[in-house]
Amino acid sequence: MFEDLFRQFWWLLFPLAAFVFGAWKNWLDYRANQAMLDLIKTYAASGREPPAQLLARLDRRWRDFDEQDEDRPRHGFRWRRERTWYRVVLFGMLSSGFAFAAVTNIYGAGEAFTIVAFVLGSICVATLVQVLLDRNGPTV
Amino acid sequence: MAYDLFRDFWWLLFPLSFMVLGAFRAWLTYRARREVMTVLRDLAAKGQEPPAALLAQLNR
Repeated sequence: MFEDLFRQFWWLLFPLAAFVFGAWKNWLDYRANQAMLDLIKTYAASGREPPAQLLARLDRRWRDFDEQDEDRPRHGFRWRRERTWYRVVLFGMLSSGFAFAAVTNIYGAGEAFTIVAFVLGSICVATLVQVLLDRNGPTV
Repeated sequence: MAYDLFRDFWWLLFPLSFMVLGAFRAWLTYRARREVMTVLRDLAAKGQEPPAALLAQLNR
């Protein structure tokens, strides 16, 4: 029974993992913000002004701040404006691949591939709209 | 049964490993930030100014 269920719904692992990962990141961000507030409380208790960098950090969420930090190379991927065409192409190609897999019914999982193709295609089109309707015009 | 499942879905190990690694990396980043903040708090409690390099660590 478990085997049948797994064979039918293995693709559910991906969206579920994304939800769990998002919740995990939010939890860690929340804990980091709590630690930051504790630190600022320590400054307040001693009657001193916290450094400007600390307060600036508090203004933004952790990930937003990472994106603002342009000077230092990071290992993680940054969603900069120049990257949006990259995303259009990437998700377009991925969607095409999964659409092909759905049409040819590779591994007998055509229906699952259809859903994946639609999701990736939606991201591709949405990113394309974002690029074309950007306030500052298309980047290319 | 387990053998058949593994033979059909062995490739799932790769994306699942990436997910686990990503979660582990996020946890390590959080730990590093927390350590920096602990040091900053100790310095603040002692009334010392934190070095600029230490503050810059918060942006890691």
